[in-house]
Amino acid sequence: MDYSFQPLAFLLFAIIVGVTLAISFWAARRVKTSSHYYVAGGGVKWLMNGIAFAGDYLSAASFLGIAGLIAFSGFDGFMYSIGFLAGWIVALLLVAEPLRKMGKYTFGDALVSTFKSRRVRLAAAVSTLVVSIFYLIPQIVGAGSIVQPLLGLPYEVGVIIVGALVILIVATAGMVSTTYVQFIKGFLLLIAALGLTAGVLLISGKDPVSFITSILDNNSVLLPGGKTVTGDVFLSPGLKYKNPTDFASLAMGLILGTAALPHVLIRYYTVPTPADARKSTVIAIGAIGVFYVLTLFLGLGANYFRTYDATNQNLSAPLLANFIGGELFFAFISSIAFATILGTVAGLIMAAAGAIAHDIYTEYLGNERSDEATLRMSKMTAVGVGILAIALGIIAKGQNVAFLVGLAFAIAASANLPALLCTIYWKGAREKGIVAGIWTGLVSSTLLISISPTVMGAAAVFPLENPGIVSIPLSLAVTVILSLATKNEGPIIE
Amino acid sequence: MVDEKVDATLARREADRQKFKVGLVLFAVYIIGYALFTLAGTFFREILTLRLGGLNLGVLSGMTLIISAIVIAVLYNWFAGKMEEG
Repeated sequence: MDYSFQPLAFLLFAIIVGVTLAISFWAARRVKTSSHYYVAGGGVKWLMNGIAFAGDYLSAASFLGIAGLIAFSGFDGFMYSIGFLAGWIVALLLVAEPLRKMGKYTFGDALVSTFKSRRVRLAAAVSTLVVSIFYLIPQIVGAGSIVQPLLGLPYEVGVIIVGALVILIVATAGMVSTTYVQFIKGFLLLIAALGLTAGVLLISGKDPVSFITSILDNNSVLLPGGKTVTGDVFLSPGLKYKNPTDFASLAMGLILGTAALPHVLIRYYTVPTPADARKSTVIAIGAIGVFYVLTLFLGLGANYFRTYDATNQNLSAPLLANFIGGELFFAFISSIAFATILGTVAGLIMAAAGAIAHDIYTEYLGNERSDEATLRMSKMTAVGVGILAIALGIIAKGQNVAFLVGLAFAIAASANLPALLCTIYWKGAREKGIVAGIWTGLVSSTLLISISPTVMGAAAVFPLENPGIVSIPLSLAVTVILSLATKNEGPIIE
Repeated sequence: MVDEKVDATLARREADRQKFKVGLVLFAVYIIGYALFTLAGTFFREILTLRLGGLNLGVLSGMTLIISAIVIAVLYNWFAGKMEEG
């Protein structure tokens, strides 16, 4: 594919970056305390928070990754849309309101509000870091992929550009600027998906149902690798996940992962009340749900019009835009994709910085300092995490971003969700059970990924690509068994 | 004054209890639907290839899960709002 420099694309890209940075510097004036930095002072309105939730959650994985997966693997790609949204039901009905009543800035705060324990704090902080970094990698990979056709620059340069911009956004104004960036980006992304879907349906001359029917009736759907399959095979499970257990494991990781993602959880602290937390989740579900319905048309449209790059799944949506509306639409969609990545990465760095600066440095190590010094430390941590993300993004070049995010979901669901739900709903939960459950989920899921086909290819020891089906029940079992075994120790440990 | 505060606390607790109960029912309904979909995609894949109204059951059930998540969210929020007001 020809990825030469396109002046119009560059202009739009520069405008979006300029607006984002202007917001950050403007918002920086409002950041005076740690509370402003971590949770925007807890004063964000629920409607804004809901769209910011969508902006935070609809990452490169949702926009670039799912469209690519559907274009390349049909129904198995659509499974990500279904699972990514299903997780929000867990967040709304089981986590949102109780979590807002607990804690202050981080996932660790929520657990420590019940178990006054340094070991719980440390386990939660490490888990937050690992999940955030696993989630960061695909965002950075997405950024590198998008900058190549957008600006004609090498992948590595794209990674460095997005890394540097996000560091600037987060280090200047923390959650205040992050919220504004995510809010604007959430709206833009919905407009982009609507525009692309309308383009697909207009050019194909079909309504939504007959468009899908035409693909189902097609006897030779061409896959980007050159192979052809029938429409029935393309839109049924099994093209990517040939092992049925892999499908179940992915489904489990996706539905249980959302409510355990640290960068999603910290957004519950940015609104004033538990009712606001609930209302903002409902707004998020509406916006995210509409977007995921549209992703089916983006992916199928990319396959239908063959607007994909067989060497890079993540470019399916931008290339579809190029087909529909030429350079201008391509530039618009790519710039929004870039803004998407900026917003999500900013949220992830906030979560990781909170885990290091607030949970580990201030609370676990006991460095009680002035609010100003803590704020400085938080910003320095954000810079460090950003640099780490750049390095990891360069290493992970070429991976599908939705797939990588699926792994982050499995780790979050394994390490965080059993601990969170037991803390909220089970009076029998004990400190040792919570700590052991987090470590078990974290270690087992990352270990299983490291010996899975994703990392080891044909020599894999663990046969599944997604570890959720093993690591989530294992973590829950350890949490429950150890809590029961130590029930005489009482619920609160100092 | 004290009695009013106690009454308000009791009313809030009762509202929370009702919200949790309804939330749990909605959660159970959704989880059952999602589990059935996952089971079909795992062990009975041919079911998802059945055609219904121009679509196959796989796409149709996936769309239904997405749309029902939105409906459940709106319903729960309406009920919770009513409980908090009352």
